[in-house]
Amino acid sequence: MLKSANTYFFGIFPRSEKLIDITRTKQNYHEDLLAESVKIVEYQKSKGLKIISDPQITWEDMFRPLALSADGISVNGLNRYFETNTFYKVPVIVSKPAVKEGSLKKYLTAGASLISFPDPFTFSCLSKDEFYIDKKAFIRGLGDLIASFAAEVSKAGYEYLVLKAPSYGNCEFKGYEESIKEALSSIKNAFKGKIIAHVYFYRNMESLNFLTSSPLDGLGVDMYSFQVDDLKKLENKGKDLALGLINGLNTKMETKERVIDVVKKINTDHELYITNNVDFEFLPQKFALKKVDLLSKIAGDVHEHF
Amino acid sequence: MSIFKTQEIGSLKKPSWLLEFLRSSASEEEKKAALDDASFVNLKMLEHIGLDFVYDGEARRVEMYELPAKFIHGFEFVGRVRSWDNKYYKKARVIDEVSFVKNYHLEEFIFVKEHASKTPKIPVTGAYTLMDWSYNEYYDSREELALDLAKNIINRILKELEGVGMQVVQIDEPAATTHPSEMNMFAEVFNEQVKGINAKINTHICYSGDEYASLMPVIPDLKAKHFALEFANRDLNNIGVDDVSRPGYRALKAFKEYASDREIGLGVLDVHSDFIEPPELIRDRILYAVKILGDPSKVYVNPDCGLRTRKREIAFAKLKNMIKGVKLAEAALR
Repeated sequence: MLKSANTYFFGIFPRSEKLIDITRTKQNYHEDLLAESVKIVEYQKSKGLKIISDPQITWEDMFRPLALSADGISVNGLNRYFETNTFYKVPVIVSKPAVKEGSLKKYLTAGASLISFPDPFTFSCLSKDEFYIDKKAFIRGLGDLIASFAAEVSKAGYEYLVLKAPSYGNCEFKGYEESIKEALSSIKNAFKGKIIAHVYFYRNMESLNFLTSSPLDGLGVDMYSFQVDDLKKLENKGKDLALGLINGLNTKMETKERVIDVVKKINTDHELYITNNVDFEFLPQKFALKKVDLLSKIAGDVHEHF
Repeated sequence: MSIFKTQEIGSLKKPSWLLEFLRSSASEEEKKAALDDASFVNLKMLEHIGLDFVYDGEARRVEMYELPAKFIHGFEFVGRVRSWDNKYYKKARVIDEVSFVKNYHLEEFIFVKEHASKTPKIPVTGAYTLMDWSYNEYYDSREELALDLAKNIINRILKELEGVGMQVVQIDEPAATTHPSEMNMFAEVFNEQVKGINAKINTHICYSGDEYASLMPVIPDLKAKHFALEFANRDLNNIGVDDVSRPGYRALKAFKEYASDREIGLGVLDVHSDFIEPPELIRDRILYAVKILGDPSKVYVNPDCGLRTRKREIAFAKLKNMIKGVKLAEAALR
């Protein structure tokens, strides 16, 4: 029996055309980025969304602020981000990472209650290790690092943490399960609110099965990679479920009816969320805002149907 | 007689005087004349440097995706999306069946051909890349959109260019290896767009995330004679012609296995760095390629990709050293 349904978006939100122009003409534009981030927070509130996502407009990619806010990490050349036409700068762990106290603060947006970080396994797959050498130690070390950041955002009032976990789809995690669980436990112990691991880009059932046994509160699933029947295997496994039904890779608008249709097929006695499948940063901002509007309308309709 | 042929890949940074003039209130006719001048200057500069195959630095083009998308019916620009950091590109959505509007390369090619003393090699953005870099709101599948672009747009453009004397075309497909599971689709689309074309078909594919591992097995199926690939951005700047010195060129071993009957356009200049590669480094990159591939006549020498992200003086300095490096390699082989 569905307990409740809510909506949110996660990940990096795209910048407006005006802001893009500013970043190409001004030398220092951090304040402009923050100002726009605050506007997107206000926009979500104006639409009645209950879970307010930090749009992370100050984030160049999902690693950069974390790399810049920690000792022991440098930033290297460009790598393609999975099968998209977007690139990220590879973090290189050169010594034991340690958080620079208070450094992350300038990347956070006041008024938000949800933020996204890379999951430690994904971090290990997409960065370069020049310190730990042993991958298990690397994953645990990254878990401790993310836990420190998680503690910081928890103290700042964030109630939801989405751990972006695409690498379970294309990076071998077998053999590292214990290290991953330890890393996730560190983060769980550090963050007071709910933690949801979100898998996307690939349909890997083993990753879903593994993450249901993790210490996290919920699982987010890219519903453009996975199918509804895949989720039936997750029902009543003691985890909240976040359905990534709003496509961050295409401007084409979803319909409320399609979303509700899928939701009706899911049985869970835990919390259900409707969210995006991947970050909205792959869309121009005006389309991402339309998708946020849709999320705000869906929340009410889902409640009506149940 | 030279052993190695040299070429550039495509873009050069536009001269600042051109950008200012295009933003001014000059008439359309005056702006066109300025573009002609920029095209001519780039062409002559590349010829002066000593390249065997040349073009005009894409002087008239805004960007490899934006230009075609502007002139194909069915495309509608929707805004800019991030490539990386604060680098963005204008992206379009496909909202209708694609159809031919005009040959957006014809005038440009005729001008270059008229003024070139060397062989023009025209870069043309391929159908698969146009599909992959667009939002699809109309077609039932990516394949349908890509094949439609190949058959009805790119193939027509190539045929018309051939009709006015095109001898060498470089199909730019940077998206080719983005989705390893789509390599068979890529091959089908590629071959469809060059069907019936008698000109020499080159292809340029860059920044493959898997060092071309997914591309190599389909090369035998592709109707391209020449593959211009990038290597320098992954390589070390050490001198040497062994595996340890040349890690960026590992993929050549697979190229030899799958594509020994094809030509390689060997990327020897990193286009994302202001480092001016010394001629000796370029020499060794070329000699390593010859060591692996065996046949120097199949090795062409070029930058990794277009040079538009570099200042013009840096781009030209790199290219000049490239020619010097080629001469050193030739001397070493004689």
